[in-house]
Amino acid sequence: MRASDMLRHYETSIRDYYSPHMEAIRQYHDMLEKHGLGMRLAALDEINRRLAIPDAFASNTKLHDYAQRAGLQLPGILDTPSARAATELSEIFERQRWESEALRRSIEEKAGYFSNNYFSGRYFDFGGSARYETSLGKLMSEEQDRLAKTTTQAWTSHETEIHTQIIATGITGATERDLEVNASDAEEPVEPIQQTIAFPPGTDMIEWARTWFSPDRVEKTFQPMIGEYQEEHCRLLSCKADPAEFQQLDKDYRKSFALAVAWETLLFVGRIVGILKGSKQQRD
Amino acid sequence: MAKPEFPKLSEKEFLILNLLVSKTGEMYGLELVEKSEGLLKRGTVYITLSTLEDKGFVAGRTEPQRDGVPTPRRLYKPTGLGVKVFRAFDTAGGSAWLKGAMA
Repeated sequence: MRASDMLRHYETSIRDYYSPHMEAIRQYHDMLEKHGLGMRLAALDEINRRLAIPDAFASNTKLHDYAQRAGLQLPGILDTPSARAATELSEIFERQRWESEALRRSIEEKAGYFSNNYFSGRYFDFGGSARYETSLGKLMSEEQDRLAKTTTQAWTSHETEIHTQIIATGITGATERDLEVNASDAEEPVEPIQQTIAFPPGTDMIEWARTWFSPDRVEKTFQPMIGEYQEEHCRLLSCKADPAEFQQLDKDYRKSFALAVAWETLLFVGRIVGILKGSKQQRD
Repeated sequence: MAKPEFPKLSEKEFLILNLLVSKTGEMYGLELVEKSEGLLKRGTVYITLSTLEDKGFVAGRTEPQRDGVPTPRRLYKPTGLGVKVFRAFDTAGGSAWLKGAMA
């Protein structure tokens, strides 16, 4: 098989992989816009924008990687400026894929959360701006199932594509195993990134604070903290920061949140003690 | 007759009031952290600001909701009482105290 044919195959396979995700992301985009979840929209916009980078560069590098493993020679491509650019772009490409995967998982989790809350009789409320109805819970559950299916299909087609290449080029059994390992390796980095990206960040903390503290304490202590956490998260997204920076930010704010909880609890205990002392003095 | 209680101000509270009084206009918690050059941390600034608000030295208002950030931030400015208390502490050597903290 000629190099140009292989390149075309990989481009097609990458496009096939992305298209179902993009459609799902677009659908979520519309749905979230309807419910005013701006933070998620900002993140989705960012990912959509990054996905606009031509895949050809990334697939070019991927092709070389596979070709080298298979012992094929692809002269004249490796040393060109586009190949060097491809090395950089392939990293961006990989990151986008992880991020879109992480986003998908995060949305799935959220979908489960919304559904669970709905069915247990509770409503999820973002700053009093949105009330989630039966239709949203059902719709998100359906989307969750659909996304799981499309992901499996996309990976199956991706792996089938690799097998087609192997058969067409007559690669040995050992190389075939190498390529299979390579295909399964691509799925691994999803876990750590998933922990880094959650949309919108801090939602769990503010909801927890709303459950345990008075609206006044939430407004004065917890809300400003989470508001600025989300602001910083947006800033990091817009300057394409490293996942490590997101992790650090998350760590810092979770620590701040724990401190604030401890402080507010102490204040509460202090107030109770004050009231008890006051009533005792009155009795005496 | 009840003895009048003199207002108390911690080191961090004095530092926050110093930053708020020296700037015309309102400030965010994160802005205060940045301006303090490492003296204020994210972990404590929000707690200290809420304490100052409870004492009536600082007035906070929730900013209008903006696109992209679902939880609104809070803007702070010193109250008249806050400015007076700050000036009193400042006259009584508060700046030296602050310099000592910064050293």
